[in-house]
Amino acid sequence: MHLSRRGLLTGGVVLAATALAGCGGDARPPVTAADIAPPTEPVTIDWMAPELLTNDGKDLRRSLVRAFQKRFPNITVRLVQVPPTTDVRRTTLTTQIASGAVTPDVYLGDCAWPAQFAHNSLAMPLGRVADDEEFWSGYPEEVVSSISYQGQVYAFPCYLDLAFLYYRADLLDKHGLEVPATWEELRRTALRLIDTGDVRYGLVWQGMSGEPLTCNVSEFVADAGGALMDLRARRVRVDSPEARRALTFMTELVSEGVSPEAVGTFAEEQTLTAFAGGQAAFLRNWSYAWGSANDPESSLVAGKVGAVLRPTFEGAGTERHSTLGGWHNFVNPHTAHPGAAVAFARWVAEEEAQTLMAATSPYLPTLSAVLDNPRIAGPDKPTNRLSADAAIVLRPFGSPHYPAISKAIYTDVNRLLVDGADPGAVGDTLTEMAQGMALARDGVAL
Amino acid sequence: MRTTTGKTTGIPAQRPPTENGWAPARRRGRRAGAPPRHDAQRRRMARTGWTYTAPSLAVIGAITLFPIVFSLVLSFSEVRIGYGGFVVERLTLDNYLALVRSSDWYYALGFTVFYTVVTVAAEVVLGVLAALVMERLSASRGWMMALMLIPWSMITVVSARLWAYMYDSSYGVITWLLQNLFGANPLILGTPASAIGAMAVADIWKTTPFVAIIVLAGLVMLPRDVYESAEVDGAGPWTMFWRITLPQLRPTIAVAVLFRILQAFGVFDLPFVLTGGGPGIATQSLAVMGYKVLFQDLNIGAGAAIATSTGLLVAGACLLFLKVFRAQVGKEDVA
Repeated sequence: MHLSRRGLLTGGVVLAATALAGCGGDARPPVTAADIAPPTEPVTIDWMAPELLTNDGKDLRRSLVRAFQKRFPNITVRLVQVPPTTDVRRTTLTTQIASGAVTPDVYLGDCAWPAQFAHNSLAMPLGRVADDEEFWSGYPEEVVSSISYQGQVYAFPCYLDLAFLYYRADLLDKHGLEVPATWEELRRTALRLIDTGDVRYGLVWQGMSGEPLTCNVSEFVADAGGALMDLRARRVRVDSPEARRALTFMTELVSEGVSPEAVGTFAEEQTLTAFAGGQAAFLRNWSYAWGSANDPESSLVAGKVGAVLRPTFEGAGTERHSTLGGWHNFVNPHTAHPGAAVAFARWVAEEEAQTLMAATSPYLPTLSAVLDNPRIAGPDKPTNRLSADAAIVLRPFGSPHYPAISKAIYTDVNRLLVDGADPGAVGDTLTEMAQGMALARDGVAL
Repeated sequence: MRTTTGKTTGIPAQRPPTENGWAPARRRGRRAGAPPRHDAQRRRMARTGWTYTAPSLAVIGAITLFPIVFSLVLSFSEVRIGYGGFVVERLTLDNYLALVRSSDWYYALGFTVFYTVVTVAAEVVLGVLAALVMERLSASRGWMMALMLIPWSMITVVSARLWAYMYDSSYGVITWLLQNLFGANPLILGTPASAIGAMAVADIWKTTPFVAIIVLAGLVMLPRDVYESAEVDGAGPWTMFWRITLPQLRPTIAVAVLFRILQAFGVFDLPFVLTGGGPGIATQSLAVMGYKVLFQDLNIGAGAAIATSTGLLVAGACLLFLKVFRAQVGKEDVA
C-alpha cells in the first residue's frame, strides 16, 4: 500500500471541497409565533454575558436570572463565562455560531454588532416580535434603529451607555471657575488648571487606535454640526468643514497641551486611571466612570467629581452629543429552545428587569418609561438624570461592514494624533479617511 | 554541488533515498545474509504498519492537512456565512487581488519581515553570548537555566500585559526611569518607531532564553580534543570561537533560527495585547491583520488569503534559509 504526497493532497482537497459543500446552505431559522412561544415543559438555556456589577458590587446577571425564574419557573438560565474584551468575545461568538453551535442560546452583544451579525446569519431575526409595534415604541428610536437591519430587529435592548464629561468640582470651586459649556471654554479652563499646578493634564479622552476613538470622532464631528455618514451608512460625509473643525480641534488639544501626547495610546482604562489618580481636570468617559471615579477605594478624587453632558463648539448650536453605546441580548439562530431564549431576552428588555437594573446598578435602562423616571434610578447618579437631555449620535453601524468603516476612521485619526498637528495634515487625513470608509462600505477594504 | 569527499551538500546525516518510506522497518526485519522475504509477507507487514499508524495519520489529517487545504480553498472563494454554515458563492481570485491592491497589506508584510529579521538577529547574538557564559558556569548552571527559562515559559499574553504596564505613559516604570534619567517625557507606545522598538525589546527578552538553551545544548556537545589541539597550536580564545566554536555550532543555530523565523513571522499575541497594532497600523503584523480581516470584518475569503499567503511566504523564507545555511555547513565540512 503506497500513499504518495500527491495522493494525500488530492484527498485533502476533496475532503475540504466536500466539507465546504456540506456546510453550505442558507435555510433561515424557523421563527414563527409558535416557535417563540414560551415553553411549558422544563428547559435549560445558556446566557453568555460579561459580568455586570450592581452598585454594591454584586452580580447583576444573577439577580436578573433569579427574578426571571420566579416568573418562568420551568426555564433555567445558566450563565456562560465570556472572554474579557469585546473583540475577543465577537471572535468567540462568530466562530462558535458560524459552525452551527446551539449554545449559547442568548448572548449579550455590543450595540455595534446587529447589522454585521444579521448579515452573517449570526443572530436570529426576531420576526413576529419585531412586528409588535407597541412593544418597540417603548424604546428610544435610536436604540430600535441601532438593533435593526433591513427592516428586521435582531436583538432585545438590555442597557444603554452614554458618554459624559466628568470634571474636578473641587478645583473649579477653588479657582472660582464655571463648568465649561463649550469646548473653547474647556480649553481655557484646562490650561489654567494646568498652569496652577493642580493637575498634570487638562482633558483626557480615548485616542488609541480602536473603536473608542471612532466614538470620540463621531461625537466631536457631531458637536461641530457634521456627521461621518448618513444614517443608513450609504454616503460618506466626512470630507466636510464640520469634520475639519472637529479634527483640527482634536489635534490642537494635543499640540496645545490640553490633552497629553499619550492620548493617542489611551483607551477608557488609561483615561479613568489618569482622572481617578488626580492627574486630569476633565475626563470623557461612559456612565460607569461615575461610580469608579467616586469609589474611595480606587480613586483619589472620590467625592470631588461632577458630571455633565459633553460640551459643544461655540456657535454650533446647543445640543450636547453622546455616542450611543450599550449592550443588547441576541438569540442564537441555532438554539434548540427558541421559545425559552426569546422569552428570557424579551423579559430582560421589559419593565420588571429594567427597573431592577436601574435601581440596583449603574447601567442605564433602555426602556423609556424607566429611563425617564428619576425616582427609580435614585438621585445619587447624575448620569441617569442627564441622559434624557443628551443628543444621541449613531455611529454608522447600520452597515454590515461597520468594523471596517470604523477601522478606516480610527486608524487615520490615530495617525494624525500621533504624528502631531501639521496644517495640511487634517485635510489629507479627511480625504484618506473618506476613501477608506467608501471602500469599507463597499466591502472591498482590507 | 559536491564536496571533495563526493558527498552531496545538504544535511550531513541524510539517509540515502529508499524505494519508499518504510525501508527502515523492512530492514529491521531482515537478518544479514537472509534471502529476501516473499512479496505477500512484505504486503502483510506494510498493512500492519498502516494499521498501527492509521490513527495518528487520521489525527494529523484532521487537525493539520484538512484545515490547511480548507483555508486554501476558502482563499479562492467568495464566502459568506449562512444559517447553514459557510456558503461559497463562487470561486474567485478577488481575495488575492484585494491583497495586492491593499497598502495596509504591503505595510504589514514589510513590518513583519523587518521585525523578524531584527528580533531573530538580536536573539541569536544575545542567545549565543548567554550560552557561552552559561557553559562556563559549573554549579550554578542549573539555577541560571531555570531563571532564564522564566521569560520563555511565561504566556505571551501575560508578559505583553506586564510590558504594557511598564511602558505606560502615565504610570509605567520604564517611562518614569527615562523621565528621571533624561528629563524627557517619552511616549513609548505612542509613536511608531518607539512602539516597534518596545515590541522588539519585549520579544527579545522573552525568546533569547530559548535560543540560548538550544545553543547551550549544542555547545556542550562539541568535542573537547579540537580545543586542546588548537590550544597546543597557540590559538587564542577569539580564534577558537570564530574558527572552531561558531562553525561547529552552525547546525544548532540553524535549528534555533528556523524555529524563531517561524514564530516571529506569525507574531500575533504580542502586538495584539501590547499595541493593538497601533499607533495607526505601525505594529500591525500579517497575523494581526489577518485576525482583524477575518474575525472583526468577517471577511472570510480575504482573511484566508492573508493566512495562506503568509504561510507560503514563511515556508519560502525557511526553505531559502535552509538552503543557504546548509551550503555553509557543507563548506565548513570541507574546510
